[in-house]
Amino acid sequence: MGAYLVRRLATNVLVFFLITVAIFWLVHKAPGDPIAMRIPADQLNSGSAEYIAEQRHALGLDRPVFVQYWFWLTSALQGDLGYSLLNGRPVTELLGERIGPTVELMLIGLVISLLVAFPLGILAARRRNSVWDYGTAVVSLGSVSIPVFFIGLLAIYVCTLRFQWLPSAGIVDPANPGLLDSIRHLVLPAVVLGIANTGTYLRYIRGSMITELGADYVRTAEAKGASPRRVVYRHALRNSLIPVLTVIASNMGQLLAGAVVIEQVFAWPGMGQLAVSSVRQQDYSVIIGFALLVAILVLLFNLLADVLYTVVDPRVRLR
Amino acid sequence: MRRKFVAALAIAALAVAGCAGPRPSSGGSGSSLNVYLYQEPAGLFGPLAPSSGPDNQVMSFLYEGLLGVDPDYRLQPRLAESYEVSSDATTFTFKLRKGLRWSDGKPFTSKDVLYTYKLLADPKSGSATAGLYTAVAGVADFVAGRATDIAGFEAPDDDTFVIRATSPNFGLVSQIGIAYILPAHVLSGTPSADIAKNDFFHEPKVTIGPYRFVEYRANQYVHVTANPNYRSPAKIKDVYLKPMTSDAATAQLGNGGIDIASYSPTDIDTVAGFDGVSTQEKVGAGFVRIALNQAKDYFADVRVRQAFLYAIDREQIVKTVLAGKADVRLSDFAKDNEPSGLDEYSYDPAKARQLLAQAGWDPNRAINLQWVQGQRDRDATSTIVQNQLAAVGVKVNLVNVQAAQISKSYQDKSYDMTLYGGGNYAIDSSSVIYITACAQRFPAGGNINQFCDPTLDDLMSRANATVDDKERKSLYDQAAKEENKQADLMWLYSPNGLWGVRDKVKGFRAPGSQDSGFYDPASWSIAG
Repeated sequence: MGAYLVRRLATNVLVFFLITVAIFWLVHKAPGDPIAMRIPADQLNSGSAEYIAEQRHALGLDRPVFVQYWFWLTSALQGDLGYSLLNGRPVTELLGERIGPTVELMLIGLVISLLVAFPLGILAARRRNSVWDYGTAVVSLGSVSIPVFFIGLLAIYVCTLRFQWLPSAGIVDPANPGLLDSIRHLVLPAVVLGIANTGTYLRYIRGSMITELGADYVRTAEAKGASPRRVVYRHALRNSLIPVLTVIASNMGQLLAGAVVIEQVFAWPGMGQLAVSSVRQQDYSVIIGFALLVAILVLLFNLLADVLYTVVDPRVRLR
Repeated sequence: MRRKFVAALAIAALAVAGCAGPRPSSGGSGSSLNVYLYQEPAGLFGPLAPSSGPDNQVMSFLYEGLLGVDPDYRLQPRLAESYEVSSDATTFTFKLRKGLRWSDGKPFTSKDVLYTYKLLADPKSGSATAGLYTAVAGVADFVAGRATDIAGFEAPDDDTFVIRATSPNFGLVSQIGIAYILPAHVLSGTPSADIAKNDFFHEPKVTIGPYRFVEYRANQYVHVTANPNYRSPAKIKDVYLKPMTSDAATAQLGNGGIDIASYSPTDIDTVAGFDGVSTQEKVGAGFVRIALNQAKDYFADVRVRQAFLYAIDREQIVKTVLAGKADVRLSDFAKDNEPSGLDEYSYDPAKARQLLAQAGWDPNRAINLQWVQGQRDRDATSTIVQNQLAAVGVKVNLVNVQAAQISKSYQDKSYDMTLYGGGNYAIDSSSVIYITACAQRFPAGGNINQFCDPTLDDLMSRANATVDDKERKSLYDQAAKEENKQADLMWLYSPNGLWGVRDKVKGFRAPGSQDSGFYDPASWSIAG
């Protein structure tokens, strides 16, 4: 296990470096000039050309790309991810203040989707080919196919516009903050994110449960007189968790992507909003910083998934 | 297991929800206002950085200049109580209000004004508007390093500030007289080469406007609170400016989460249906237009430019795309400043064909219309323009570009047509020269369509050198007629600013566009 971990980490580090090179190069190759775009045509004055040239020079953007990469890499290894081209704030600060809300959204969204997926998946597995099974198939298909932003807009229409039950934007009402207010703001985005991911887990849970319920040990337990409840929850469910846990772990990238969209729809102040606005404005440093963070997270979660697999299933040995 | 699971979930929810909220504000006064920001601010709240709409909106609560601009585009006294223009329009003397204080209690004097103007005129400070100050005497010497001060800026005493122009320039005041003033006692210690990095511009804690800065939570809100040292203290204590999408803002306007919001013509019916919300409409200062690149020989012919205007049914665009909430433009001049009798270039495809034939337009030539996608009205307009030009025999390809790419096409002079908008030509007509003058042809200035008409330039500079209001207006009228005849730009429409305001908010006067700042927020109040 130890040797496996070391090998995996070494591979991850290499992949990570390659990702940084690729992203750095891609971002700088994108057409357009982030400095020039800050002065649109209707704001141009006689000093604008000089201003733009000055700013580009001050930010080091007139050096060759590989020189810029070298400077960036050496700083990044010391924990300095550079500064935003737009407002000069440190990238680490920008990411740091937004990671909390995104993690919060992802966690609660994940919990909600599991809360829906588990009961439904178990139900579908136990009553195969019944109305319940087909019903959950529809639910999971809907969850996977309907675009998450559409569900979000629908939710805003119903819950905020039509019935004014819940706020549809932001994380808090600054004039009346408090726990209840935070929860009210969290409900819509988290539920929408949860619904959007339910389908994926639902299918895996159902499939996994069906496999387990067909296993010999289940038949033995039933023969021994265990109640259906005991069979499902005490025996089959635990074993069916194995593939499900790994799906959850490796689906984290998907969850993050969904969070990005949700953050736009609900004005949720997380990393997703930062990513979208920095891409739109070609804020190189922030784009690269964000991509780095996502790369680290996804690599880590995949590693976690593999390790979890061996922890949860004693039959598996990592080589 | 289920019970434990649910319990764990509940704890997790509470813990996580608790962390993310802010600490409750002290006092929790009921007097607070929520204002919609149409975009995330860049986060640079100061006069040095390039103008950014949402940042301007925030700054209009915090900063003041010598003069301000009201929603009717008239200059109003702010930090200066009056000003005088010399008879040759080269010297502008401002009398500052006495007894003003910064939000930290320190007195405001002409030293602050002098400090600010020197900084804004200095390209090394990272001032994006430094080009506007080249018209001030002594700036050229200062920039070249031949002088350490700018001769054209003087503060003879604490309450007086004088600007001297290099040549007669009546409109100079409307260009630079509204610049936001910075506190010298806070910033003068920083060398001008480093000033742009000063944290003051992220958190301008010392202000002279009606509000002072509290905090900016990125992607959430900017919080400003009433400045007790302002000369007429604001009635509303706390203002929260919140960026979000326009859909979210309209929804929040409906349920009371937002008190003041701009909205687009597509939401007219929705906003009209809200209880407790009234609407305001205001003429815009700039206009949406298509630049025809006159570095290309086929656009250098005035008949082609006129033909393109005749080919487009601009009235129909205003009616269908903007629900009538816009004015068709006939020149670069603001509607209120335009003379009557301009050629309307009313929709006339037959005339367009005739002019194109006379000019020898090649029917096989395909040209590009580029624009930055994202604003509904401009997206719709491009398609209409493409169709209507096709109907008179001009092939147009639509090209979406990113904002960052577009400047290259200006530099290379490679584009054919660009659809864009904005600008402010309403305060003083002299600002029109930035898009029409031969000397301002890009990259020297904002004349991206490479238009050049010496007759127009002459009329404009003579007008700008005239102090007498009637005579100046007459010269500008002649200039407008000349410009209208030459069809320098395809003027499309000037969209009105549409604002929804909750009934409890009194005193709000809507600005003409969502990227100009708010006027006199100290006079707003919340009823009941």
